Amino acid sequence: MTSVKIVIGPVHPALHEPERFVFKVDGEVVVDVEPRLGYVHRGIEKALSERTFVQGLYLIERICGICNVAHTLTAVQAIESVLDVEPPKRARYLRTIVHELNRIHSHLLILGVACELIGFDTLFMLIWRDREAVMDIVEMITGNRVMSAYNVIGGVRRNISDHEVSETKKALNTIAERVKEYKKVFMEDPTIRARFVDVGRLSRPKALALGAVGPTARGSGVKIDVRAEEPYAAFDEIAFNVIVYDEEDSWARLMVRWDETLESIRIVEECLDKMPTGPIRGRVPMVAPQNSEGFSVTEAPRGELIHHIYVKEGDDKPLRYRVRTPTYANIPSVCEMLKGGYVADIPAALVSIDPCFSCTDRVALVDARTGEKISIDIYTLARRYKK
Amino acid sequence: MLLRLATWSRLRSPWILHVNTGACNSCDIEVLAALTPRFDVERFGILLKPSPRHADMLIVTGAVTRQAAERIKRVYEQTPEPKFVMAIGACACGGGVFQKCYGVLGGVDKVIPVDVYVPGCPPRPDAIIYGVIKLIEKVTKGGQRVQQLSRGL
Amino acid sequence: MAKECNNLVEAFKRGLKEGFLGYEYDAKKRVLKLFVEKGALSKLFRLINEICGGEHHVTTITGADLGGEEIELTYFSWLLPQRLRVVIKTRVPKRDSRVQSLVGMAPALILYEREVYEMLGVTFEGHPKLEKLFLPEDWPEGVYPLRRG
Repeated sequence: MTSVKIVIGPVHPALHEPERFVFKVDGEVVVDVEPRLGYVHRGIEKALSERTFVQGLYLIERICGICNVAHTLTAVQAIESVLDVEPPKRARYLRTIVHELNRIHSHLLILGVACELIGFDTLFMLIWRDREAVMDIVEMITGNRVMSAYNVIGGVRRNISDHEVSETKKALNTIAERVKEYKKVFMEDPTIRARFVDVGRLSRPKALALGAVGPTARGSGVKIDVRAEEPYAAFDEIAFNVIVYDEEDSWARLMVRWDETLESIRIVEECLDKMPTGPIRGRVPMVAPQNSEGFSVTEAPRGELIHHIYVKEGDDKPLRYRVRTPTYANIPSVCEMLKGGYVADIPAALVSIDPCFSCTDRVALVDARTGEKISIDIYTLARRYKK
Repeated sequence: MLLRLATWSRLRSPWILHVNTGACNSCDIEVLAALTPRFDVERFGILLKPSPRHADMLIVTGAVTRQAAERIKRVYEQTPEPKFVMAIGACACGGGVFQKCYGVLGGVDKVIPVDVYVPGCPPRPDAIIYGVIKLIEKVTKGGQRVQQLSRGL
Repeated sequence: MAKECNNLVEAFKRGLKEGFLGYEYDAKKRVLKLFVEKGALSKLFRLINEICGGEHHVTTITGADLGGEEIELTYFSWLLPQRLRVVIKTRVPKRDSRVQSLVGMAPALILYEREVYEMLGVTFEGHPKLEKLFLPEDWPEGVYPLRRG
């Protein structure tokens, strides 16, 4: 049994290398997986109990730049539940629109990155070119491409004009056509299928027992989607399909996202058509009216996101604020997926859960027999091990 | 004169290593967006490389977490001269919204020297490209770094 | 739904006896809140797993120091067949902050228990690997960032 020897420059064994995962390997096979999550730990939960509700929103938005809309939506809903605030109906529809646009951009992002990771650069460029159209719509509606600060306690910050509605519909039509084409590529292209089919297997019972969420769960036949089970914003009045695939592999998890992108486009169109008139924002107390506790669960692009808040009467800051992100929930499933698999499959499996950490992150490979350790970034790992 | 030509030609197509030191990813995706057809930074000869050994320029995002500090220091050391550093986004420039959080050291310049700061939260891909151009201008106009390079020769 | 919920509550009362401290049901949001003694947690999870036929999706644990003598633990779960959000609350005294690990029955808790341990100093007895998760290795022992004094 040969050991894995990849030398990426002089790696001093004494220096601590903050990798995302440590894989114990025996030749080409992964024997064990250990997650290391401290790299991006910023101490946000503690910081939130030292900031007012409004100040906290700016921090919450930056928990994750990609799904920042999901975080602010979940936050304002949790805060509204303890401040006894009910947002106006029009605001709920607007929130849903921007929430789904966020999902579309996020799915296109990772689907493009998945292509790039396996060397399919052209497709990556095409998908990200079309993703720009979504960023344009978001900028038009909210005022910014990425950090929109659109959700506020009590409603949303900006209204939408008739012109913006028609521009959005036009752009979405084009995007939908492109997405259908890309989906077809993912279903038929032999390179994509070779790199993702049967990779990162996660059985349904394991996915459920390990608490997998989002497309990671739905790619393994677990039919859970917060929008359908615990409707929020305008989801109680919008019809859509929960997308489930039963193949239980990386390919299935990516396919779930293609179909969800098409569903999200339909949801946005339905919201635009059914948009009620009225105010977009209501009055909000500055302090908590009584001791209480609340939580909000939403379906962020990567899966179930929960914000949990405790407040004391008369305070303008939370007593305790807890955030559990979907990627965090998926870590045990990722470990399960990779155990017993090949080193070559690590990047394809990781990218399929759409991890909320940087793609330039590193992983460590530790030889199970000699204890020798190599540190390598996921990008290089993907390129070195072409099947 | 020769030195300036050598530097200019190296920087005509700078190769970039992108390092995330604890960012929320919004800067990272705008850096990546800069590569894609809408902004197309490759027309300037700019290429993203995965290893510090091939890099002319480090693009750093994120408010440096304690665990990331060591890594960015080592990446900087592994990058051969002449090397330049761009801090992208409010966090890399000075900690951003995460200033005073217990997990965070602050801006990138707390750990390694920075040549260009691109503020924004996140900065648009246009701003990031502008930052790269500014850096190229700064170096080729015989700024302080060019003098440092001449000492190296 | 309210009737089904009553059946659930009755089953928990019977199973947990004095360990069952109370409940609140929000019919509009379909959220069932249960208050239990820390020693009854493992029985409760076993009951839930039985009632759901294994279709029990564990969400997370929040540990909170609300300023008193105790740490409050809140377990969030989703019961698939009943389509019900369950919120389980229990208290752990600060001077003796040990509670049984539920990882055997609910493997999804494996990282959340570690997080509550490092942030609040609650020891989950029986956890296969109770170590720091987010905090750096050189973080001082015995310093729990989310404890209040």
